Amino acid sequence: MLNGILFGLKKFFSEIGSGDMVILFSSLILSVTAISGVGFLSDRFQRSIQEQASIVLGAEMVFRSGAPIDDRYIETAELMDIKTAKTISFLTMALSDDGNILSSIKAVSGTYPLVGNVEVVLEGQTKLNLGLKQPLESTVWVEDKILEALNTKPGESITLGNKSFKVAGTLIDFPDRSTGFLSFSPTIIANDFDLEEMGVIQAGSRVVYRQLYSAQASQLESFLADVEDDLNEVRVQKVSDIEGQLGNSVNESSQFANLAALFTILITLVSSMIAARRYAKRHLLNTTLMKVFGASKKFILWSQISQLIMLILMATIIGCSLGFAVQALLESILSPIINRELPPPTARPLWLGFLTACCIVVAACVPYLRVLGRVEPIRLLRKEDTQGSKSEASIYLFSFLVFGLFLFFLFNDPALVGSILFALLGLILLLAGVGYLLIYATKLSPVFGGYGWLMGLRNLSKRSSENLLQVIVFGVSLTFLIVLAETRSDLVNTWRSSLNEETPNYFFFNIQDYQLKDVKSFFDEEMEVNPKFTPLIRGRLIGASSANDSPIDVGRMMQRESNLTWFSELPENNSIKDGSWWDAEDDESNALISVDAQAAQSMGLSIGDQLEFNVAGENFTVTVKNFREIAWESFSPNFFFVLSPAAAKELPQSYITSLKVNDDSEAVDVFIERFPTITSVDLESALDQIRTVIDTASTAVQYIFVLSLLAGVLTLVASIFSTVEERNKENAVMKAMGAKQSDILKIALAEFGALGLVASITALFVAIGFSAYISIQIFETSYSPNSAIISLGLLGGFLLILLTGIFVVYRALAVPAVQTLRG
Amino acid sequence: MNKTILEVSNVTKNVSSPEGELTIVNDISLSLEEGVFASILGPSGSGKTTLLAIMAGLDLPSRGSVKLLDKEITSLNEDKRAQIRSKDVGFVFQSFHLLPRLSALDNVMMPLEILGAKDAKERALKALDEVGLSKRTGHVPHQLSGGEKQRVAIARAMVKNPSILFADEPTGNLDQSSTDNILELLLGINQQTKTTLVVVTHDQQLAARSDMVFELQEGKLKC
Repeated sequence: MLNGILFGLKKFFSEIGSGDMVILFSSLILSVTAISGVGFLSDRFQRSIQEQASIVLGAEMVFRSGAPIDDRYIETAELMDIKTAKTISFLTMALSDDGNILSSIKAVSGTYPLVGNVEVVLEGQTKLNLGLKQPLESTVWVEDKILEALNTKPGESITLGNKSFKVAGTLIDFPDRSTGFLSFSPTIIANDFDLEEMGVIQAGSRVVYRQLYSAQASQLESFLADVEDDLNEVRVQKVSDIEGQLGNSVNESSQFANLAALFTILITLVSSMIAARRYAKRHLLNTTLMKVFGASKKFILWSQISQLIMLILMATIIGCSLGFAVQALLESILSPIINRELPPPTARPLWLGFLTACCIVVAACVPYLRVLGRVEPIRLLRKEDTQGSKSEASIYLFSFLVFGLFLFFLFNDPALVGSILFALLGLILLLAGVGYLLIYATKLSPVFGGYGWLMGLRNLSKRSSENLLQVIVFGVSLTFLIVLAETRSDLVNTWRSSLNEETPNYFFFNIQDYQLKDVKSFFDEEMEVNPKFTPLIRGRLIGASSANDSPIDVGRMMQRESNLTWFSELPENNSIKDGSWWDAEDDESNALISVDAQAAQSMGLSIGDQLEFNVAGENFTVTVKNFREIAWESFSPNFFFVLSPAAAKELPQSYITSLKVNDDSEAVDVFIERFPTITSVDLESALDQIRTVIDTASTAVQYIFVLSLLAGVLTLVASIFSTVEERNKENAVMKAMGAKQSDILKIALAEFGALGLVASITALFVAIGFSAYISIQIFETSYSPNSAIISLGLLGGFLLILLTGIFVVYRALAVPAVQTLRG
Repeated sequence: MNKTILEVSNVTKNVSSPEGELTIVNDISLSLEEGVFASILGPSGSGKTTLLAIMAGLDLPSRGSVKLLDKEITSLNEDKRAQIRSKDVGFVFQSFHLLPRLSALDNVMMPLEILGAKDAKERALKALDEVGLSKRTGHVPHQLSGGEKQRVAIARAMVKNPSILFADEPTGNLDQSSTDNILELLLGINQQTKTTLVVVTHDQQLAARSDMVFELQEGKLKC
């Protein structure tokens, strides 16, 4: 065994510069570079996105409840070395001698925030402080808006409840800005020690209690597993659970990175297999000679295994180094765009690179190892071709199975991997079928244009198995590249359109019926907008009864007041999941309700159940008519409960609206002056936090795609170059027989033109199908083919294959025929 | 009397073909003593190469036995036969079969490396010197002429001092001048080292200089 290993290692270093080894080695390095490059970049972006998203939460995980949360969770977490903090948020009036304003109070513990910074300009200072945790006792940090409304300056006092506080600083920004009811008012950060003396939290007060946790994901998972069963009435929020567009962009960019990695592996696996096939076939002579000279099977096996292990290790080291360099280069190009440093990558891409090298070597080389092991030495004496007898089909099947196992290991999702393999198999069979038809058609079709074209088309059938393989390689690579381009474009457009320039940044609520006409005309005349006004009814769910005696749990909903509304028509960004929207007759006479599908599921509601509400002291009962899916990312007012007109028309209600106000507009100030009882809420800061995450995710997706595209293009080029030797020999023979250079170029044009055209057209149709499936089923967005990407994919793929083919042949023409023929 | 080094007893080799079973080698018996130079002559398809392969333990007969260096190799498994070849058997092929990416020196070292010899390089250099290629050790095969390639192949076969050297049409791909040189080289080896030499050839001139000639026709020894 040792002799075999030493022999293999020695031969590895002496053969590393040889043609076939170079092709296999380069192909492997390309795979590892591509996968680790994508891995490093996406890893850093994902960490950056997670960090940004954590800032939105103020922690990596949050327990949230409308009732005080038991401190034993904090105690358990601290025993597990998890950082913790607490916040208690509620609305109350802030008072001064000169005014009052409804404010959102955030009473924080000494360790807040766990992620991100509270940005404060302290009294008497001009510089921004970032490292502060909590105001001193009896002091508060206050947002500018409150200071303006109270006509107060830092250093002066304001009153919250029963206690007077000194304003110790101006609050500029802070993590975990809420987009819920608390965001409707400007914020004051207070020390949680002062809460009791404030005395504003009474039974029935609307309060949000939060416990913040920060640690490694595995620590948080095991902590959660420990306490999960006791978490009554506590909602757990993690970055991955963030609702709305923010959560979508975090999860979808991660899915896209996985998809890009998967396609990159697939594409580079194909090129490595072609290289391995050539390498192994050439290696048969070495192995046969070794057998003739008395090498045992074990000796040969260990010499081959040691070479493959060296191949894996060197490809991993070089590929990962190159991958890191590529992503570092991209990051340096990107840094002015993303305007911040990305966090360092984890070691995961290194493992991914190593596993990819292992997978490719095992899938592509091991079947040939068996061929090498079985080769009969007598072939040398018989002057037979020293090629293996093992069926190529069984080799490909083995490779396919190894690749499947690798994907199972990588994604740990049997359904996803199964459908990928199934789709891949279908694609390969389709491309093989189309390629076969092309080859068959060239045998039948009348030939035009002379000798060059004739030979080119004949070459298609002459090298039928190689050309079938080329059609499959070209087709698979192009399909994946087009799918990635389409998916990337769809995702980025969806994210950006959901949070575009027109996304409302101001909410106005508490608009009374009698003010509606004046408010509308103000918006129309002063701001030139006509926003939609949504009725808002404050009510409390007080009971529920099942139509079919199934258990209903509405306990959590009964604890607090809910925002209700009513509509005649199904609102935008909503869709019916179960049941039906009310008809004209329902509008007139039936008291019905539409419920958010997720909320309905958590309460165990069914269509036909009855819910009882109390609004302004009046009780009424409504029947559940339908469940709705709500696009929470729409940034329009959305409601868990929507009443039918018949149920709501007579209830006391106000109106709410949202609109986009330019930063420099003074119209809001004028509006507040004219309508002092209407509350305006500026959501710009909260939207900014979300925009940062979405911008980072969009940029990440764009650049991950660029790396995959690079790998795909290199694979196509490598696969054409893999036929260079055979083509050189043919060209040399043709030149020796008197063929002109133009004839040889025409042959290449006809051959690569036909291959490129067939592969590109087939890839295009399959890619449209795949893209539609991925967009709709995985990313849950709509799909419409992007004509620019499709045209570019078709033309670019065709031209890349054609021009690379021509280049390979053209280069060979420069070598004198006699030199090639001497070999 | 010299010791018998190779004894072939009633060897027959049948192979399957689309036309049915074919007998390639039919009931052949022969024996060779240490240090002889034997030629196997015969037209194409007469079974020469198959007989050579069976004698060298590269293939097994359908019937009969082969005793090489007092060991009945036809009853041994592939690895045991390989072990005998690695120490005591040398091969020279018509098409040289040098590994194209390895230098002449590396090609010659290969059999010794399989054996795990520590002094592989020194012995390989000596072997190349003995075939007159001491100045070509760093050349790769495509930088050598046909005659030089075959000299490298002979050095590779002889580098482990085998007891018996099998050569399959060693001059088949060479011009007359190179053929003469290779022939002299092989004869010199046979005479100086007393290595038994078994050559499959079409070349009557070569056969004429051998100690024993076995002529095959349609798989049978011609008496």
